Amino acid sequence: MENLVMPGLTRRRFLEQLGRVGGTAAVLAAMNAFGISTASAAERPPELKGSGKGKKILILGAGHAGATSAYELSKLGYECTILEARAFSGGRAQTARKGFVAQEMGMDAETCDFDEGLYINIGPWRIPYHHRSTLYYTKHFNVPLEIMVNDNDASYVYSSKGKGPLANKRIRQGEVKADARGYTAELVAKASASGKLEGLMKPEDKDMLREYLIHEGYLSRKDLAYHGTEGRGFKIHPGAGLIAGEELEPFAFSDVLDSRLWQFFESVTEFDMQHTMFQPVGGMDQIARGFEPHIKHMLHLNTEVEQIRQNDKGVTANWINTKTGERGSTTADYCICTIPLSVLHRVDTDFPAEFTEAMEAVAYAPVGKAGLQMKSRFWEENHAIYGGHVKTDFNAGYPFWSISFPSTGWQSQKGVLLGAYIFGDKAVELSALSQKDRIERYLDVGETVFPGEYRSNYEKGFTWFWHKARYNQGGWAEWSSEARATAYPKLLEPSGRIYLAGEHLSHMTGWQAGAFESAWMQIEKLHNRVVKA
Amino acid sequence: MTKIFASVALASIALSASAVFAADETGEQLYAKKCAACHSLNGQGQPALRETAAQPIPPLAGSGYLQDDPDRTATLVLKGKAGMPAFHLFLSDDQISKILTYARGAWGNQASPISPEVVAEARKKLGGDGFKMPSN
Repeated sequence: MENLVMPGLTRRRFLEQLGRVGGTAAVLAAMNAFGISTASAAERPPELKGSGKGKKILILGAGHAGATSAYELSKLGYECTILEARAFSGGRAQTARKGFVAQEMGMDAETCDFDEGLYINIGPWRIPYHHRSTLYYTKHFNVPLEIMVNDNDASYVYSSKGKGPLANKRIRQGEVKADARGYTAELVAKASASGKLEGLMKPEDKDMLREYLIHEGYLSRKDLAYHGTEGRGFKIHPGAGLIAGEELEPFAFSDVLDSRLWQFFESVTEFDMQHTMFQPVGGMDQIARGFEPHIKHMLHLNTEVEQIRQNDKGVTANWINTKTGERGSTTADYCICTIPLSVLHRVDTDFPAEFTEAMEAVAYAPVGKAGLQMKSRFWEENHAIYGGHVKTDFNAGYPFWSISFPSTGWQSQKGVLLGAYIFGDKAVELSALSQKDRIERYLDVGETVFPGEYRSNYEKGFTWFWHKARYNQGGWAEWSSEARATAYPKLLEPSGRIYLAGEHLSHMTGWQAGAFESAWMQIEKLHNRVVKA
Repeated sequence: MTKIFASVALASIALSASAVFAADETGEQLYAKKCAACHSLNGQGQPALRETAAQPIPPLAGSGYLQDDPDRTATLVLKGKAGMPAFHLFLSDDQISKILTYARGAWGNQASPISPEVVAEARKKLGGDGFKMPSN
């Protein structure tokens, strides 16, 4: 069941998968590795020996996987050429700011019109502390990082499908956490004290369980009851002189349960969501700007690949410059193809049928985001919410609708918040609407949580859906366990002289680290083949 | 990453809730909501940039694949395929039946309806643990 819930990669799931692929030895090795560190599988580029001089590499796509391949291989002397269909490098790691133009299929082009200095990351927006590969490049290229506030007890949760007095209103997250866990600790402590847990645990653990529950739930030592805790916040804040402050009263346990507000929390968040979370100062596209000076001379923008052919001597891509209409072809000894499978499977190629079928076994996630520019930072000024997310149970497709506040520009006049991050069928549904109608829906959600503030502060917005982007057709690859077992391994091996790379060929789909580490894996394979030949 | 905020219990509640609402919706209405953003209201898909290029999203009008084997078509909607999303978490058997029956009879298409039972059979064959949504 846990798997259904999506998350990228829990450690347990990773170990299970490893067990299938690599056997027990691999699991043990990985467990040992986890024991001493929490790093991603690969922390730095492979150390490659020997020269690639005289060999040409054709790289399709200038996202992170393509840029990484070009950057690392050219250091070894390879002559790289990158063909990129769009007018910019960086792939999905894009930032919408003033002047950014994007066009969804079937829609008019949209130009972002945020005020100078404001932006929204429309692709990846978080860098977990254990994604060492991503952090390798941010450090390597001197891309400054700042904290991305991914959790905030002062922010709200909102349950519209729950019942009772706590439903249909905004509640601070910390209040719900304290009460749900405090009352639960009280129940267990009292059950244990009255002997109801006998047979369920070792008798000698009883005393320590009691200590743990008192600690965990802020229980009174006297009667093992939960009476609230100052961590929930204050009615009257402590101040100077005689202002001692007055704590908020806890909610009733049954009201907390009925509200379903507990559904937004768990004992510990998924591994990929934990603090410390980073973001590049100035937008996620700063990573692409880091690569750019080093790959610029190899990079051909607005160059769409129409056909790929290979034989035992090399690989040829026939392309068209979508700006000038000029056609041409580029031939190389090998190719690293980072085009998303959603797009590649419709390109004219001469891959064996088995390889193409494997590409088609993966689904792509419909995903959309929207940045809404607000004329004041009312969440900071009026609510003391600095970063983090409002979590609601409004249907965002899968599963919740969240509103996320910027982790930058604190206390400045304006801000762009993430008004929508939408998945699944809901993303499909909303993407059928015009930009204007989408924003109306997003404002409705925000106005429910912040009545009188959200709409009146709204100035302008930028909406985007990845499944409607011609050169992406989806946010990220979604592998079923069946396709992981059958199709995926076929794509990890080269087809002739063509190596595929990208987030889709990792167990970190949708994460930048997946793209970096996939590229590292493939260039190592390619280079070893070249030096052995 | 919604996954972020997700819980399994919730996902199943969301699914059953949408199944309830779906009872009122026709195949045409469901198609407009769940499919038309990409395949377009008239079933023409998304146009190619130029004559020599493939359509990024193929037309459903006149589609042999859509009008052929019902089991294969239902499986495609459930599992997705390359650029196509997987809908098994989001659409009920009844909804998929209505959508496919509509699309197989619209825009000049003339294939037989697909019953919810056919979709249910295809769903059973999915096996495994379905798809995991990564967060990012």
